[in-house]
Amino acid sequence: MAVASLLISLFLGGFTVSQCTIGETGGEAAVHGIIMWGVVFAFLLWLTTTGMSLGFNAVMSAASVTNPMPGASDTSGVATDKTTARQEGESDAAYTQRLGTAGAQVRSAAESPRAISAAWWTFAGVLFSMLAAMVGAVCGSGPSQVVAGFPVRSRSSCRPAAELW
Amino acid sequence: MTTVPVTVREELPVRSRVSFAAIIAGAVVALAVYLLLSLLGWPSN
Repeated sequence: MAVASLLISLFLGGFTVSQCTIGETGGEAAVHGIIMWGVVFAFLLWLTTTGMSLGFNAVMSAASVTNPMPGASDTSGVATDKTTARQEGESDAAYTQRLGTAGAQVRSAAESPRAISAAWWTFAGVLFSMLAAMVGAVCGSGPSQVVAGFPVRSRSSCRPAAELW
Repeated sequence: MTTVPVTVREELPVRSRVSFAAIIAGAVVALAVYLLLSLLGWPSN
């Protein structure tokens, strides 16, 4: 449910963007919201690439499947180039056959329904986060709402100009 | 009747209509709210 936190924060960020700008229309507010979404995601992507995962994995959580893909095998510690395979005593034919098997495993994993649904959910997360920023910016645009249901003393002077002078 | 062409003359130059200060402010608010919600553990699973 970290996606909900990200959507709420992006909505409030978009609202803040519109409150800090003056005289924007709805379209301009939406553009400001999209740019703000881009800035936030660029920052989160930078955090991810530098090793600090703050929230980008929340959107990408659907893609990070905890269970291994069906048919995929653990390839850690296995030679992935021909030179290393020769040094480890593996023949060229065995190396070629192993590469073909690994390619088939990757293809089968990519074509599995689980991987396809994960990709679609990732796309939906990105789209919803962008929509949250846009809706927040549009909600914050325009003149401020005034609650007219409460009786409030008028702050304007109603005295005639003759009394003021 | 003669027609006079209407020309537009800018009194003040418009550099950019995009308020980047507001965008940075919104991004900072979004990141701060997300960090706060994550620290508070809301919404809980």
